[in-house]
Amino acid sequence: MPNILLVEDSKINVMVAQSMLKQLGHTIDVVNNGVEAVCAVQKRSYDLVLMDVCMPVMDGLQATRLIRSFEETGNWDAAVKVGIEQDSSQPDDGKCVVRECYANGMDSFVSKPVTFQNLKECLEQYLP
Amino acid sequence: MEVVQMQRGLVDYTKTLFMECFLDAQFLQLQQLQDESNPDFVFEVVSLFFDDSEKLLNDLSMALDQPSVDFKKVDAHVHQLKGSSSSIGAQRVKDACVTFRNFCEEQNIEATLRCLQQVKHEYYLVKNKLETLLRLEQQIVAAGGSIPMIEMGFLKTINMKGKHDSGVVYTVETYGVFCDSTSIRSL
Repeated sequence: MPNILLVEDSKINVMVAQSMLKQLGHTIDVVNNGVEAVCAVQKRSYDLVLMDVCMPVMDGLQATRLIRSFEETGNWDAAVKVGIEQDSSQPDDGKCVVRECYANGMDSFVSKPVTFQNLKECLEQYLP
Repeated sequence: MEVVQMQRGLVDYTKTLFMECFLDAQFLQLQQLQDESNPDFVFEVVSLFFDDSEKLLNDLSMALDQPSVDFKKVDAHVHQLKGSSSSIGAQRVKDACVTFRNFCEEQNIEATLRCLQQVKHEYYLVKNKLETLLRLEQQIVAAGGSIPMIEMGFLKTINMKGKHDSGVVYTVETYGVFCDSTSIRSL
C-alpha cells in the first residue's frame, strides 16, 4: 500500500480529498501546513505528497524546497513525489503559480477544485 | 406524496440550481462520494461549509470595519472562502469571491465593501437552496426511498469573456451542465 500524505489547511478540502482517495482505495495521512509536512516526511517515507500551495505558517512552495533540500543532502530515501493543488481559476495567476511550483521542486500539479478524475490520473501517473 | 414523486421533485429542484448557476459540477463530485460507507457525506461537507463561511463572513465584516483596513488579511479570508465554495460547487459564491479579490488587490474600500455585501447575498441564497435540497433528500430517505443521482446528458465547455475593471479582457473556460436525461437509481 503506497503511503500518501495530504498537506491541506482547509477542513472542507481535506474531507473531499480524503473521501476521493478512500474511493480510490487509499487511506492517507493529513497535516495542515508546511511545517507539519516537513516533520511528517522526516518520520515516515511517503510515496506521494499532495501539497496545497497556499497555506498558513509555511506555504507549500517553501515546504517543498525544504523537503527537496533534505533529499539532496541524502538524509532519507528520496521516494517522495510531490504533487500540488493550486488555484487555476484566474488564467494568468494560474500560469505563474505553475511555473513557481515546478521551479520549487514539485513534480506535478492538480488544480482546484480537486475532482475524482484528476486525482485518479495523478495517482495512476505517480503510483503505478 | 409518493416516493417517486418526491424523487422527481428533488431532481427537478437540483436541475434548476445548476441552471441558475448556484451550483456547478463540483457539487456532483460530492454526491458521488456519498455511498453506503459514507451515507451523510454531502450533509457533513455542506454543514462544514456553512460553519466555515459564516465565520469567514464575520471576520471579513470586522476586517473591513477597521479604521485602517488590512487588505492582505481581507484577501486571505476571501481566498479561503473562494477555496471552500469552489470545493463544494457553490459557483456564485466563488465568482463573487473572485471579483472581491480583484478589488482587494486595488485596495478599494468602497468596492470591497460592496463585494462583501454581494458575497453575503450569494452565500445566503445558496445556503437556503442547499438546506432545501438536503431537506428534500431527508424526506425521501425517511419515506423509505433512495436519493436519486442526476446523470448528465453532456457537459459543455463554454468560453466566457470577462472584463477586469482595469480594462483587461480575459477568457475563463468554464462548463455548463445540461441535464438532458435523469435517471433514478438507488444508492
